[in-house]
Amino acid sequence: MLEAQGTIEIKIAVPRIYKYLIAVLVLSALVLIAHTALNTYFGSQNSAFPYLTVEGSTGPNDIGPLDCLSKILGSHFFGDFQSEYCRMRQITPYPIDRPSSYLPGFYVVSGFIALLPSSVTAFRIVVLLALILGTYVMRSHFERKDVKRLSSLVLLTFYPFWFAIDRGNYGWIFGPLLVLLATARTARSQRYWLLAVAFSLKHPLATFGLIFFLEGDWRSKTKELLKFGGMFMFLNFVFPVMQWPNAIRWPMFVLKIQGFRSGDTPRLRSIDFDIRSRSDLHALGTAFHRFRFLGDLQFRIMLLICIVLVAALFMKIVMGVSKQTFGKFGQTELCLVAACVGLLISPLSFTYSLMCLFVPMVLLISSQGDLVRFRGGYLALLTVCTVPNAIPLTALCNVLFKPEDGVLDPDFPSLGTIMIPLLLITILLLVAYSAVLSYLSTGETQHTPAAVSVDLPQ
Amino acid sequence: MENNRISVLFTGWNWLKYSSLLLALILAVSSRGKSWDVPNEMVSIGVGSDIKAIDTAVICASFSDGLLKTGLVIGLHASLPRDDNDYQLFSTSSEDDGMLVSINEQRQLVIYFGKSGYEITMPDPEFISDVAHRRIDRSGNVVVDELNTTVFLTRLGFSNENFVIEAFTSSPFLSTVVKVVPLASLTNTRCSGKGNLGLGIDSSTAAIDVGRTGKTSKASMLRPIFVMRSVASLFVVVWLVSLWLTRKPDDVEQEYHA
Repeated sequence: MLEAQGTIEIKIAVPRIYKYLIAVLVLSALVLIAHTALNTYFGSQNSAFPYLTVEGSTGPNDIGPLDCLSKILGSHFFGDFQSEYCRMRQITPYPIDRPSSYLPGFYVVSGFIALLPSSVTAFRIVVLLALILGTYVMRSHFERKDVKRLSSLVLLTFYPFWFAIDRGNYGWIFGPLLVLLATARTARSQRYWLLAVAFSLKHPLATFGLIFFLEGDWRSKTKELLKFGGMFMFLNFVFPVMQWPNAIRWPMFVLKIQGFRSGDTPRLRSIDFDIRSRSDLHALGTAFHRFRFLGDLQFRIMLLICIVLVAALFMKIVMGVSKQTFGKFGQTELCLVAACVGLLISPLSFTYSLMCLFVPMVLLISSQGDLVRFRGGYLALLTVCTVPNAIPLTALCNVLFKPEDGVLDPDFPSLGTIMIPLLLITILLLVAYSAVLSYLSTGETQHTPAAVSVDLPQ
Repeated sequence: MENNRISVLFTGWNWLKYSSLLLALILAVSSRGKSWDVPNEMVSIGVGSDIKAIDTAVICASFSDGLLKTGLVIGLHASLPRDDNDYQLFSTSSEDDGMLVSINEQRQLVIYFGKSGYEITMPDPEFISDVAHRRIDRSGNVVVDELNTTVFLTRLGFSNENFVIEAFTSSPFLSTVVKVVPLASLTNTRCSGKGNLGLGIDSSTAAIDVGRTGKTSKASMLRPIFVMRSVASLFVVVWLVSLWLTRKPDDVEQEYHA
């Protein structure tokens, strides 16, 4: 009887969370569209506030002219996409004057797009495939029909997804979608290669490899890891070597140019991809450093305010659900950890890399999220992270604090630079607290004699 | 009954799975040996440690009227001492007003165009010093660098005022460097039909393979390669999709019940 009541409560709670999420996403998308339209109409292109399309998106000048560049939508280039499209038409996709950010497996699973006659056609087909795959993946997680119907809307209003399409960075589109597909119940026997392909598309997604260690005995885990390793090796080493002579050296080369390995090729290192200078955590440290113009005392007060805000958020979410009991620490929590850690240490963490958060968000909405502690809190924090928030603080700080040296640095941090890492840290704290509670409740269950109650039929 | 129907379906998809993987492997291996669209007229000339006058009619035919009328493929091969000197490897004229290919003090490949003074330096010394093979003496010191580079010179298009120089090497990994060059830089380039090849120092060698192609763009020259590789990639994707379609019956039934 009690169990039945609990089920009813959950069924009522899911749509509320879902509607809230949809409302925020749709509203933010509408604000973005209105802002872009107004600025386009009045000719103001200087604002750094997030746009629907990245204004002034650069052409792929790194790959040289190869008769494959096309402007899409006026002067818009969809730079990342055209870079990769053009690279695939070269002798090798790894020119030495501009490092590529991909493992060779990326070109194995996406090289076929170079067959299409132009980058415009290829781009349209990739966008269509992304929408179809995204909707399919979400529907494979959702059981409620009303939730299934709104899958496409969630996908389209999820700003990192739109941003990744706008940049044409399809590694960040398909990678997280494949990870999400791998977490579906119906993909249990196939998740080894889905994750291998996803990691080949975007290696910061490797943190999602945590889900291999979630369930099963050591024998099944070892077997699955071996299958995963075999597929990963095939995509990134074996198959490229069959196509490109000496391609076996590429992974080492890629790691070197991204700063993961030191080497004797100093000119090949690109600061764009250096984990020590481009991670979100490093960006947060740099952002705080920019506020040192306030003076020592005020700077310390600002740090204290940030800590208090994180603590207040944490306490608010914890207090909201403290009286409820939940099940074991599972796949959704692991995906939350993987996404947050991946983003915080990733050297490629631009707005579209927030696509990582799409994985735990969908899991939380799906029936897998029914027994997750702090579910509403996670959803709220994830939503705030992913709505357009790259709002510059330069003008505001100039007016409020009037710096002595005149105007602030042009690379003064935006709101998102500070807010996103802090929210991700809050999520990690919540997950850690939840893990401790789960561990303690498991211990209590083991030591307390089980009380069994049976509802007899009336 | 249900299981039988599913197993029949899987048998069909299995055929797709294995055949697509096999085709992908065959195409990948085939594309490995596939070269770019090799020009019909290829001229190969080699010299030892001296400097030799050579016939550059093939190159001059491409450079006629100060334009790059047809695409050119130039293969450069040389053994040169590892020191701080610069070396001229090849020129299209006995004077300094032709197209010159040299190695500078930093071991960068330099292409210089005649009186226009236009110079293209391939950016990284690694292009020569790290990418090329090194001959090592008994004490472990590098004594000779071996250069093995192919340079493409192609027009962007008939109406375009630029042309492209792309140099690539295949050792230790395939690497390319691309530069856009204004067509005007060729205007004063002298190409008399007689050029020079060689470094003129002991224990060095130099060789050149030159060929014209009717293809004006590099993309069209490379089409046979990237089509083979793209089709191989396509079959890999088909193979992966067929893996999804041949999921374990337990997974599919779970989906059906859900």
